[in-house]
Amino acid sequence: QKTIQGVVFNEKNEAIPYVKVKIIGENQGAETDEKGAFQLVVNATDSIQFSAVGYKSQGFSVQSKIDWTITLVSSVNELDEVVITALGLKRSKRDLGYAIQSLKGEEITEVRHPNLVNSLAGRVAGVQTTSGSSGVGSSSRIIIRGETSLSGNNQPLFVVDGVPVSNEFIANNTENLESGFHEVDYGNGIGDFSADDIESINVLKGPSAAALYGSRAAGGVIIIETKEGKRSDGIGVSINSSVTFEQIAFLPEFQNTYGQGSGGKFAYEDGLGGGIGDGGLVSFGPALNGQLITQYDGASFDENGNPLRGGDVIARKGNPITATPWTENPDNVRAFFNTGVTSQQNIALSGANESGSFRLSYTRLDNQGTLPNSDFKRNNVAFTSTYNFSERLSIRTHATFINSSSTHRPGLGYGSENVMYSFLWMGRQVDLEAAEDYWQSGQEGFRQFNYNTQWLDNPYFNVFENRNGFEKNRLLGNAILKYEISEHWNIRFRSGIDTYADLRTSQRAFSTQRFKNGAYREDNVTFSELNTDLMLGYDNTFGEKWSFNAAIGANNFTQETKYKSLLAGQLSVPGVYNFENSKVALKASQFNAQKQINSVYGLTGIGFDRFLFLDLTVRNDWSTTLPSESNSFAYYSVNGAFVFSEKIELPKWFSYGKLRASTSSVGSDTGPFQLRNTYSFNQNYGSYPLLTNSSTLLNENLKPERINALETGVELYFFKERLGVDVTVYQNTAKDQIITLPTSSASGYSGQVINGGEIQSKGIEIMLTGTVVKRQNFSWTAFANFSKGASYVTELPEGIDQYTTGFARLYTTAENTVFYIADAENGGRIGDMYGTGFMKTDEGRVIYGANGLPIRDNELRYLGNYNPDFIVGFGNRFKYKGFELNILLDWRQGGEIISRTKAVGSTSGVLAETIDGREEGIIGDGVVNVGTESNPVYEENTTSVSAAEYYNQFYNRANEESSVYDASYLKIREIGLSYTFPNSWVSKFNIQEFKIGIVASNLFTWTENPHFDPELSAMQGTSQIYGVEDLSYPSSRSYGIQVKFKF
Amino acid sequence: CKKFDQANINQNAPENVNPQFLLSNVLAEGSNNQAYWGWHAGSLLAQHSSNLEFLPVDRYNLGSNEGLWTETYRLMKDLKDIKDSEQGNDAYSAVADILTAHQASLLTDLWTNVPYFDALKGQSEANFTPAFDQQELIYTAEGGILDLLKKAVITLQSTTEKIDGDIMYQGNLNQWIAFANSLRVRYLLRISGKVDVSAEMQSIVDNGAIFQSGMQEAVVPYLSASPNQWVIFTEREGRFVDVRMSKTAEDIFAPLNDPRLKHYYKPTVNSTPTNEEYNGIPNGLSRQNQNSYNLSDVSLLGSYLRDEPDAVKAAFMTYAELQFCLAEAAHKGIISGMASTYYQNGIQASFNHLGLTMPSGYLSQVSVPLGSGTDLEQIMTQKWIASFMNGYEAWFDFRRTGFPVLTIPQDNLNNDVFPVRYAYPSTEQAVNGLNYSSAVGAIGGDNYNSKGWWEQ
Repeated sequence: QKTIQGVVFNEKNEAIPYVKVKIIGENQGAETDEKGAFQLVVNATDSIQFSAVGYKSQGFSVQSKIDWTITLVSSVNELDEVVITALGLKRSKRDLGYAIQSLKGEEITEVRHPNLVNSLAGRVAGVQTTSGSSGVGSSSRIIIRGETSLSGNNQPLFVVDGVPVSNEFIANNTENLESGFHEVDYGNGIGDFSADDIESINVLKGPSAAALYGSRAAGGVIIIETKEGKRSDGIGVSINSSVTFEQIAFLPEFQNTYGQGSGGKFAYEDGLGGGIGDGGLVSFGPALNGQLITQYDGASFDENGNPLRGGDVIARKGNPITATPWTENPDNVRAFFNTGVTSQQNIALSGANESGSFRLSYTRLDNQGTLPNSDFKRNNVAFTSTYNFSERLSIRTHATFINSSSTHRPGLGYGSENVMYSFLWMGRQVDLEAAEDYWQSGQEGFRQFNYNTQWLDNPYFNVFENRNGFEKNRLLGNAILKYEISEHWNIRFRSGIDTYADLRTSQRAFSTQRFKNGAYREDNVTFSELNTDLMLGYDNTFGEKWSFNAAIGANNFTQETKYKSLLAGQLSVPGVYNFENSKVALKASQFNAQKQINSVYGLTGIGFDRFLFLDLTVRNDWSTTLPSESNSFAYYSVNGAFVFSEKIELPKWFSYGKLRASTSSVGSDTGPFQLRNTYSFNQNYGSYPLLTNSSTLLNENLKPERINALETGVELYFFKERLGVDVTVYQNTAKDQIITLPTSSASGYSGQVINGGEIQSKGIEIMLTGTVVKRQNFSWTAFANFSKGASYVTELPEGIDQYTTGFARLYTTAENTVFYIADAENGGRIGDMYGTGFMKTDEGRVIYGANGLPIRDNELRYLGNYNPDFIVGFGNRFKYKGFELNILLDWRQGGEIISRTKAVGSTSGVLAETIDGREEGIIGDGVVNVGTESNPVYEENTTSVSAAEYYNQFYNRANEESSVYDASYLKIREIGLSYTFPNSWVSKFNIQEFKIGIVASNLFTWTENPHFDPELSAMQGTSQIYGVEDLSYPSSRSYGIQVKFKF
Repeated sequence: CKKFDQANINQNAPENVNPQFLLSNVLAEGSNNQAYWGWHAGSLLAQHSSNLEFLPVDRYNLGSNEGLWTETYRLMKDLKDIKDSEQGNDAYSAVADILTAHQASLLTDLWTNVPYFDALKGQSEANFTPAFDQQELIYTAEGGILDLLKKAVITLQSTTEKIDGDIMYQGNLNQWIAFANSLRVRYLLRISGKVDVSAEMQSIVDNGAIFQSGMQEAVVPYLSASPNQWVIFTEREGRFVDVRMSKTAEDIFAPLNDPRLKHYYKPTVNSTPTNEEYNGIPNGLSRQNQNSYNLSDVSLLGSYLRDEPDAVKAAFMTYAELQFCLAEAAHKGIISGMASTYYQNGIQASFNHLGLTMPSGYLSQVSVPLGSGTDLEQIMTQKWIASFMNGYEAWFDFRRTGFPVLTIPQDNLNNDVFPVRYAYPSTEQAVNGLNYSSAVGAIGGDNYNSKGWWEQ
């Protein structure tokens, strides 16, 4: 007998702990320590086997070898992969009875998206992401398995190192303040994170998987593990640097044949109706044939004969404008946008020894947006350390400080603060070059210069003078203290904080459409969330076959939000943005809220012979947001896995098979202050205070929500694990949802908070992974995932015959509204949209009036459903020597979107399709009733009307039916081509890794409509809305280079 | 951090408030609605003004005006809470009833049958789908508009209680009595084609507790300081220059030497100081058909509507209106007395209301004196001039009497028919569908042409 010793590494030369070193055929063995080292007493005739979760086992005969250096190759598939599950517990994936999907840090830094959420698009089955419309820095939304809940935002809970963090975006209050300030997207919480600091992302999809996280995890959980220091010689340095360029894709398709005006006439005088149609908003004017017409940029002169532009109305004092050629400017809008630049730089230092490790990382993101003067900057400093005080006591700490800021975030929504509004109502002849000098001559600071001063703000003036800036400082920190009481018992204390202060400043210059004397506003958001968790764990094996673990714990969650807004609605002196400069009494809006949840939980897991596994969890929450008699709610989950390939004789090509099933029942609370009504403050009348009823009736008898989930799935691998199939079917039943239901305002309230009926979601997720080609120097691996699901109302709330769950406005007034109605008679699917349209015959033909115009009908009708029918992600990775090519496709099929760009651009006559019928007039396709209302007789419509009249009525904004598009799209989401220099070469320069690559994202999109990207979400009021496009900014495609160093 | 059971108490706003704050709110918002909707819709429908770019209303594509519907019911809920308040009293209740009657008339005259008797019971009875009531009942049944006003008068005559927060009458209950009785005259006259209102109206007049002068009229002034400024003073330029003098106004003022013309409208840009021109443009022209007008030859609205924060007086009801109501009633024999006296008082009151001096000889110029067989038209024409920017009042009068004669907009989108109502808000279809459907059946279709009870 002799003692052998050694170290086990992975392919990246990192030590692997917990590797089982076993003498084959005997019951003896050892395990590697944290540094991958082991010792074992053996005979020279023994054979030993090295096995570790996530790696291929390897066997050797001992013979005379004493010192061993073993490199284990990771398993090709994810069979034995270690994943992080609820409460930060590391589990072997094969033990789990529910669907989980993991992404490694390398995968998401392959093409680095500024917003982490976008990295998940296409990669994870069942996940649907939506980007905000205002470019880098805007909110990206993520939904797992569709919308089960009608309340809340349906987004998953984000957990960093086992501690929940905020993904919320607390929007500026748009009520009670001077109208005019538009919605601005300041970005969702997870967008603050740097991909470079992330070790792995695990997506827990169903409520089962998430049951231990409590009510906030009903929409699933995304678990983020931060990177730790790795062992290396001295201090390891890694640098990851990328620069990408963004170019707008998807500008509305404009016509370039007719300019501003009506009936073929136009003349500019003052942009305020003083000429012919020059205060107007439509492009049904003269054909762009180069004829001479007065324009805003035509030459004129002041009283002293000095040259001026036509639009320098004040200095011009009515002097004539030289008429200039009336010509097309096809790229006037495109030229307004810049090539955006996004630089992401990361440097990380790390080191480790026997007693601990550290990693310090700095990331800088710098974006200049495609919209002039818009930007986004972010600095992340992250520090992670681990330290072992003794064999038994260890600590891990992580802290990230994030500073993000912007000079200007674009105004969204409908109105003059959105530059797309300026463009969709802009005469097509306008040459924007003159507008860059945006003050009227002699009126700097007081009067803007523009092509239309009646309704529109000069887009350059808008972005350079009317800014929405912000600065946000955020600190995230967590510490985990772990003590091994004995071999089987351990105790773990974990505490984490997420706190930020966000100061948003909005300034408006004099002569702004909505603020003729300018304005200044500050919105202050402070947020903090503290999670503290104590857990006692037990872990043991009994005999050869039984394994057992259990834990009990308690958790406290405390969240506090403070919002304060102050507004000076008129200023005394132009250009000075502070409250001392206010000409009027300041207006204020303030809201403070807090919430606490206390919880206890327990879990246990039993494994038998590596093929049967059973997990049980229970948890009870007490939430402050529910009435005291019903603020306690329990939930549980049971899940089991059966690795049948271990027990059943399968053909050789059938490598692995596992069945899994789980069920759970999860409770959920609500936001603060949903129980008792309060009156709202209105602006004073003189010295008289005013108060009024709030619009929503709250509910003192709320009960917790309940989601019951069932999930079953199968994992199969074939052909030596080269082909993998993972199928999950699920059903979630949500009962007693806490929802604000719109009501007849004649009831005294336009909404009421209730425990709603029952909604059932069903769906299927299929994941395929495959190694298509595997040669010495070349490999091609691919994955595809498919998900399809839908939710239906299965039981209506009491006293309700039609479930109207919400609405989105397509116009500033309520006149043009899309209702979300799950009408049981029509299938009751969540996401069904209703709106108004045209009067039609039984055959569905549009009825026209004698005037040749279609007749609007006030009756609501079905327009479509905003949810996709299915989603497919398809990724390919090709490797040839050091070269690697990654392609990711994202296909969303089905669903409808209602477009305001279409409605507005058709009414105004700027869209390409409004060219039809300009000269000859339009005879609308439909019929005319020549009988009576009760006894209709329909004849073919033969009345011709002018194009302007026709489009004005057909795309009337109080008519949603005409502007519905199929929201399907296929995108080349990511392409990355990289080259990793050979180790043998770079090691000469003391470099461990050197990789360069070119990356591109959103390179191409195929979709039905020519005007906008259907993926983008809209924002109205304080929330993001679905199924409606609301003058979205053009999305962009980006491409650039990326360099990675490690030494 | 707060104790567990304290954490969910909302510290941001009060659960209970003294009724005075709600009363101030209803007066401020309700009067503002009168002026705001006068500008945005009432004056277009009555053809005091016409629109150039924002054409839906002017071309009779009226839509539903859901915003006003929702806000009116919210104000009525505020009024209900005043009545239900433990800190309230008889006087508050009576004042709340007067204002409720006014808001209810607005609802039924704009949308025909509307939820009324079942309305506002979401909180108290969990009724979130109120039935729609017939206009006749809303006006005449117990608890309806006229009943509320009548009983409010009786209560106010006997109470010794006081009210605060009264930004209109500063707590003077006699003024409220006069306002309530004046509203009764307005509404009795409104339904006089259907019901014999003679005795009741005569007794109100005989009793004398109605507006006695412009000092008593129900007006809440705008203030010079933000946030109580007249909305068009702070609006973007486009909103102001988009609204023009109508051709109807041009024609009505043409035979008159009337300083109100120069007050309501501006001289055209092409005018000279020595030769001021006031021209209108026909209502509801398509943009294309506006091309035949040179806008420099079309008047804008008066500068008091744009350049001053507090020159507009938001009126629930003016003394002038009451006088014209009485003139019409006298003319029709509903009450005794000389129509011409009331008529002349009304004209004088209108000048007074605007702070203008009636030119000497105004009452004797051609087309002003009554007695030539067109009295009703003359009364309604002078009332129309006086009702400029006062909510929808002039439109209601036109719907009832057909005077003054308006011109159907050439490019209207309503089959050459003058509309008489808004469509119901589509929210009612979405959330109160069954009641909505039966209401639509009851009025004969949710279109702009289904007439209410009093105008059938």
